[in-house]
Amino acid sequence: MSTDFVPISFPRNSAEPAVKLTKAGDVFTLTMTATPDNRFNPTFVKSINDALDVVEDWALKSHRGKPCALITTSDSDKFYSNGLDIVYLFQSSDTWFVADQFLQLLKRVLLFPVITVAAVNGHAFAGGLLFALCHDYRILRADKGLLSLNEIDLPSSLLPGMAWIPRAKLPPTTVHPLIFGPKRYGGQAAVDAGLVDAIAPADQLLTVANKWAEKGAPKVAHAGPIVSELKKDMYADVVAKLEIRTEVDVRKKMQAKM
Amino acid sequence: MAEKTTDFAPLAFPRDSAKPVMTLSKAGHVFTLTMTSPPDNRFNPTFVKSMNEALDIVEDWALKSHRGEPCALITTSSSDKFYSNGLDVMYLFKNPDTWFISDQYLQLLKRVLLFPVITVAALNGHTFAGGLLFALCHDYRILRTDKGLLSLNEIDLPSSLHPGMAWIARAKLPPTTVHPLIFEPKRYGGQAAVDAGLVDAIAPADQLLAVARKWADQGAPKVARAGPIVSELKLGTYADVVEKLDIRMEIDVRKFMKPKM
Repeated sequence: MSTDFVPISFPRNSAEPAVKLTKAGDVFTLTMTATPDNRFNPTFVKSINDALDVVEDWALKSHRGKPCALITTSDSDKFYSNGLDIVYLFQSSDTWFVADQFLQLLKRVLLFPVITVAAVNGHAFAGGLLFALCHDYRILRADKGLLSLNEIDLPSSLLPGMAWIPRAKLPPTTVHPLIFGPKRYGGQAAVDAGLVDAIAPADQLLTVANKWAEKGAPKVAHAGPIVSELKKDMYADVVAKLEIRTEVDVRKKMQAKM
Repeated sequence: MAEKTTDFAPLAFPRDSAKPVMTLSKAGHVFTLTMTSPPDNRFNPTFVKSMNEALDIVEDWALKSHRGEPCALITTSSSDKFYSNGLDVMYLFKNPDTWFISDQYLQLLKRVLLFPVITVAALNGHTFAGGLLFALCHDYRILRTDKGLLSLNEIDLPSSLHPGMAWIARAKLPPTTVHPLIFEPKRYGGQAAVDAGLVDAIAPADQLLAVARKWADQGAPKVARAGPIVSELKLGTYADVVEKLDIRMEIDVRKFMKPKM
């Protein structure tokens, strides 16, 4: 099916877009393009939300009843995402960013109305791994790319919602080493630990992710808003914790790494 | 890592007792708490108090007097047969302290669960009931390969499980392990215990402490760098378990258990 959607970048009309949205068949692909390592700051979060708005509108309104799914990935060869933009948080004293923007974005992805597949083409650390865990499925590049929740080494604590995502989505025997090791998982070990659903060689990653996305695409066609409702039923505890508003001043807790 | 001559003289608890129930020693950055209460290291007020005093020393070292230095804790037993068989039911029968479980034992479990340094249980023998729950509150568990079974055998005593006790198992173990563990009750040993997610590794008896030491050494730098954030992370990760461990319930064991001599 030739695409019925013209690619868009966000922020719109920016010389350095942070996110690109494309579509092929029934599957949207959101590619993170915020060099070097796709860190979450207000511009990045807004760009992702704007892209998600387009997908959500398509699936639930303008093309309601049609199959639709979403892949997220990165255009960096090395990183999927390394999580929060600590430098921004240090310099801006934006103490409500984490609660009001980042955690709300995690919640949005967790409850997203279409099936979501994270094509993890590089390292996914800390908040970047939490973002990936909020997807329905994760496909990891076989040869490269490690997953870790390395807050203990920053050092940083985890807000309740952030700690609850691994508790809800991962086997207990993975949760503890992941957070307290912090153990890094890659390749088949990541599958065995329940962190990802499959691995694929780099040149097949998006193809495999597409297979998973296409399998999930009919769900919203048939169930409409019930996909989100089911996600909310299954993960009500995670949502409740993600909604806890806590002011976070990283300057008090962390040393910024430049 | 170069071995430092120990900067800590071993202590026994209770202090100045002819029959100490545990000892605390240190080698390099790692404290070792050895339970020495025959026959099977059961939890009663003296045992709990002794353990808290030993933990006080480790906590003070890591967060105050030697703040910023690596530190970890191994727990083990001096018995060749038992790590711990849990609550001292005989004691509770004779001294009906109906608040002991809530206020002393469960609070000790909570303390270990949230302990500010990485903890490794070197399971050198049988670990049953309250003893297994104690071990599950550690960060990691290493089990002796050839001997030593793990079981939550409350159903056979019979005894129910306080909400906090049940929730430790729910939070730390795969669901496919939890149910047989509690309801058969299934006993796990050797590689089966690793496969079931009950322990992180097994080691032959003569290597058990060396292997536990490796895990402890790996975890020791965490508190050096993160300080009080180690405990905060544990509280964030296991907030639900802590909430249930804090539920105060009066428990009279004489109502539903028969002591075994």
